[in-house]
Amino acid sequence: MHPMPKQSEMPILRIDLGSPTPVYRQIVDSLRALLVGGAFAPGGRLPTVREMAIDLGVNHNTVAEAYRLLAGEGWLELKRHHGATVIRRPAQRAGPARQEDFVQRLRELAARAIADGVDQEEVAKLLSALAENLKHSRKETL
Amino acid sequence: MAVFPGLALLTARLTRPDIFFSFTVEPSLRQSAAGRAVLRQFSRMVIFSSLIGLALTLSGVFGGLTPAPAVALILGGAAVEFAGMLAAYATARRRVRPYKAEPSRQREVVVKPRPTRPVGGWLGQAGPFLILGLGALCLWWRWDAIPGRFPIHWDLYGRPNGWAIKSGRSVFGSVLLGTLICLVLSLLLNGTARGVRRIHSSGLDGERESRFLRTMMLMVLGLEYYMAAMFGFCPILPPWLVAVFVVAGLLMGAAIVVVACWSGQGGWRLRGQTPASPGGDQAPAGDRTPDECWKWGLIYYNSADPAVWVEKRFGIGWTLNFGNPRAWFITGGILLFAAGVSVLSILLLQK
Repeated sequence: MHPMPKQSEMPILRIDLGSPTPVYRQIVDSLRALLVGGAFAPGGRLPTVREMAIDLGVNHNTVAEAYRLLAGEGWLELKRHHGATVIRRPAQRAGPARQEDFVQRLRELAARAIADGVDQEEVAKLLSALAENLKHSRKETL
Repeated sequence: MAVFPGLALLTARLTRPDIFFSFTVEPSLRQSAAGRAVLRQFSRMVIFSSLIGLALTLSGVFGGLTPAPAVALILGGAAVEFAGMLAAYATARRRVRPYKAEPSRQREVVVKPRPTRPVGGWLGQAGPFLILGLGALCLWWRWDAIPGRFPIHWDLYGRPNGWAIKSGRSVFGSVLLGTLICLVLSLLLNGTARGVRRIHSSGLDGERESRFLRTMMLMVLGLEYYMAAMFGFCPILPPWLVAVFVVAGLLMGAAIVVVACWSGQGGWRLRGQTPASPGGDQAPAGDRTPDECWKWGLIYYNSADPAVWVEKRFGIGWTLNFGNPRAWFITGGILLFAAGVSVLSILLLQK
């Protein structure tokens, strides 16, 4: 049998079926975060749609839609019966409008966290830690 | 008569902490006064009905009656015991129902393809079939040493109670039977290993679940090896070796019970290396299946769930999701296999 990998080595995807965000969107966002964070090297395989659907307890189409969206963004290559393979994504350059949109969303997310009771300093610390992590993530996935 | 009540009493205590008589509950319920009262009543009802059943059965066996009333008493005893266990289970469920909790809506999964290598590796999987092949070779090589009438079935004491007349069909029929049994076990083993849903993927619970799955799969693989050795060599087994096999079989059965008690369903009773996840105001995890899709808490039917195999809610191991069409194929296949084995055994068995 396969030895149990250390917890730190395992990319974990988490969703909340009770969230107002559609499940496929949560899968896309979580997988994208893992991909950006360098959890998968180009050529690495993701679970098949069926495997992911079984483990999450959601419809196959939900997972398939998430994979299709990520393939459309250039992260994955989809092959029938072979699941999804991570591919080398061409470097992207966001324009000023896109960057401004991102900053606005980040501002809103931080405000929501603070409104929900997360300490302001804690939010700042978390954002700094996230920025540090991104700096050290694998460049070839960007 | 003692085994099933004993298993029922154990099973009620071995389910996941947040699954109690097939309902999702707060993990603290089982240890609470209310939970202990439910378990006590369940235990009393099971033991009481078992004692009455046992008394009826013993009356039938030792009462010196004519066959018809004796058989009626024996069957009646078994029926009383079974009905008592069902009534105890239904009563416990009625008492637990008010404590039902909404399971967590959070899901987590390890983003990693499932291994394509079979359980135990290719060599481990091939082992039973190599043993059967070796057995067939030995039978052919030692054909003259096989008696004209040889045993093919033994009682619990290792005494033969089923025989076959020596012929190509009967001698190699047992090897064929063993091959079919090992093939079906292998398919079930690998199908289950690849198709079960992981409830926890990280932390202590994830580690426990991995170990539980690994242990159960290896036990089934061990059973395959046992069957291969038995069926591969049974026409030429000396009596002392048959006794060894019978003892080994009983020990395997005992080991399965011990492992089940030690690990609990999903491995929740195992100790782990990873620190436990921090507690908090989290809803019970549940087993990722809705309570309302469990019929009487024993049969799972959910056509919206893509899983074919799900964890049992009362018992150790997994059961089929009958809302998935593949489950019906598997069930049909198992029934066909059982019928085929029975027919084959009858053809081989000649007193």
